Amino acid sequence: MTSKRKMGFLSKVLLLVLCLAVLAGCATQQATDQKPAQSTDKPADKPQTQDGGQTTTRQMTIRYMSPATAGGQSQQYEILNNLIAKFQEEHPGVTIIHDALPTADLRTKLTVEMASGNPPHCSWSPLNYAREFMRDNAIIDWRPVYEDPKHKEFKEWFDEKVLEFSAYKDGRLMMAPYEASIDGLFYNSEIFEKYGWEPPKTFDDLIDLAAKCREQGIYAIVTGGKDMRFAWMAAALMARAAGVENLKQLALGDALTKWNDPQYGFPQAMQKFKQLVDAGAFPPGTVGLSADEADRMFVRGEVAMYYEGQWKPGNWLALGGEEFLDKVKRVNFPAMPDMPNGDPNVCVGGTVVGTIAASQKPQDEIDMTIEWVKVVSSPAYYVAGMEAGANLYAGKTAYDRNKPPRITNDLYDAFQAAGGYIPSMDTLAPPAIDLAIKQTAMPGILSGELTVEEAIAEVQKAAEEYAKSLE
Amino acid sequence: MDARAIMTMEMDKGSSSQLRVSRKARILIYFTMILAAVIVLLPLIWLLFSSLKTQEELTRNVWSFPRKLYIQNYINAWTRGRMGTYMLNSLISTIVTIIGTIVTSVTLSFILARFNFKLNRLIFYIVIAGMMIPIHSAVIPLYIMHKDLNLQNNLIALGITYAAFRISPSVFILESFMRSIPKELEESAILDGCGIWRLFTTIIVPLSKDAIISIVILAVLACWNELLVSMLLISEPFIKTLPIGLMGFITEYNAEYTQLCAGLVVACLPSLLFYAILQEKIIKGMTVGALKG
Repeated sequence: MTSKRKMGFLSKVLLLVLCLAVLAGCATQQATDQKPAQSTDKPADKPQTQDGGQTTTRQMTIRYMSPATAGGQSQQYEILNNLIAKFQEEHPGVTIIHDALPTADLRTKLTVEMASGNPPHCSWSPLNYAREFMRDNAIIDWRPVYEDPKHKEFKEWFDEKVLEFSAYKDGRLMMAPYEASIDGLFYNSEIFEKYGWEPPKTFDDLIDLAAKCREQGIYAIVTGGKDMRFAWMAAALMARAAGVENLKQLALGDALTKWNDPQYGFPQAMQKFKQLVDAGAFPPGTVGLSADEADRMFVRGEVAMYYEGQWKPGNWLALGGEEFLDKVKRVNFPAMPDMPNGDPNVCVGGTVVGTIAASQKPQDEIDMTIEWVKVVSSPAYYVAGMEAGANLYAGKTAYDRNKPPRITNDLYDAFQAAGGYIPSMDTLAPPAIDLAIKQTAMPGILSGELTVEEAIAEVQKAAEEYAKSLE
Repeated sequence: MDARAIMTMEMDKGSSSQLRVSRKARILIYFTMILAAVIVLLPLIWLLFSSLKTQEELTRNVWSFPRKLYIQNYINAWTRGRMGTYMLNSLISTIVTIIGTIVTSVTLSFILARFNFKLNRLIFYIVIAGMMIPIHSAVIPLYIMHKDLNLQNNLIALGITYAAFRISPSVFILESFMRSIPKELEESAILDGCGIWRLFTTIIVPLSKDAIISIVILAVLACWNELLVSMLLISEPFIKTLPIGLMGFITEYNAEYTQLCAGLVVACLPSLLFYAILQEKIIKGMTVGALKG
């Protein structure tokens, strides 16, 4: 009986503890919102100089998140490790923790850490994520850094065209450029030469080419539908159908809830996409294809073309070797002469990803973060990778053009020469609208589950809900 | 005489409970079992073959045998992909999870199953209500808590977190199992002067061995493959766990599928060894409660 009483008492205590835990969990956290105090030459925690003249800093740890993983991007990872070692040597007391994750996981972690008020000091970030963080004043403005003579390297490496890309609506700069992004309608020149085809210049040429491909038992174009790789094509279709300004208005400006309005061009872009689908341009099952499976189809010669960004040749090099990559050539996404508002020359890309730096950190840590970001924005980080055909530097640099595959040189030249850029949909549109386009609308049209009107309605609905959430 | 009657007679004949089946039925059974074995083994065989090919070979033909055994994938996965470090880290967090799960769940289940007190059922339902909370919904509070307690980048804290999420399902299994142990055993032990602690350690725990093994299996499977929480709580490169390491082979910029396959083969080995050693117990553990009632 005594033990029964004890147990009863214990159970009451346990219940009380449970209730307290629930209440503690529900309690609100102290507000941490504060406007970031940012200045590149704020005197707080200045580095101390020892007798020998070597500059020392207080012990600090800078956490940097990037997609250069040990398994996936081993070469870039090695270069980064060497740069970290060198930086730590030059800055005694500073430790750089490199948290490497694949991009999808990195986005998740970055979002959770920002929401928890404990972001990394600096991180790779796509443009649309940076925009959300800038709205919350969670990241620093890079404009004063670029203007600061102490950091003159940024202006030496990157021209204004590259920098302006990451401008927030009030002029603040959200990111330091991470890499150059440029789209390409890549084609297998061996197939084209074999059948005497010309790469498409207009959208009608592309439709004709789709029919010719079917006659030869292959398909015109492929993409990783399962991995939602429609964001780049969505931006290209929009830019060609209605022009850059209309797209910007839809994604960022006053026309946020006008995706169903033909004045802004999204309905026409979806109509064009439907024409491509009806012409049999895509292989069956494209909606369920992973990006890797799509790559393999292209490498095996089952499809003639592939539309996406500059990172693709690196994948094809790994899958098909140099022999295959030599056959790959690039042209711009075809123009649409029947669309008077469309921009026939703009490229999708720019610096759609960059390095952001958290603003709510001690000033000396922000200063050290800027120094570190300078390292990962420098040619030293990119040139070796670029010469191996693994990436593309957004700045100006001299590199050995004999080392990388020819397509890398083509992409670098195309990036430097492009008259203008528009970001891909996944870095331009708010995430909810981007998902509605690449997860619902375009796969829906491709699989036949949605008509063009229904697909547009889905995007419109997502845009209205997003606009409501902003209110 | 119909088939059921024959079967009943056959069953009644000897002490053996084996059924005598016709030749046709036996062929059908073997065919089904071989088919099931092929379905289960085919992905593993494909994984092994793919891990021994070059990327180009895999691209040319996904289903072919490797023309030459390309061991370099394993070397790269182990050295550049740091599989060894990640496996060790996963092992540490798994061991902590197992210990944490057993210590908390077995003791709590014992109290809830063998003692009648007023709030017994209420506590039981509160504990098992935890099964309805998906780990994903708790990531932000979990992250804040670890940050505030300075427990980030700590494999033991990660293991304890996993163990906390295993308490609900483990208590759910163990409590019902312990409840089915005859009360008479406990009463005779008490009459012979056995205390609560001794009753717990020498009678209840040994009798619940199969159920404990099944909760261990479930805990191992859950934490060995867990990605989200470990990704959020671990930032330092040398403390990351196996799923993060494996995910690192596939990025937007490059997909090292053959090395990933090599990594997966290596990652499967501990599970296969675990199964090989504990095969009998695992089967017993998985059928716990199947004949109850």
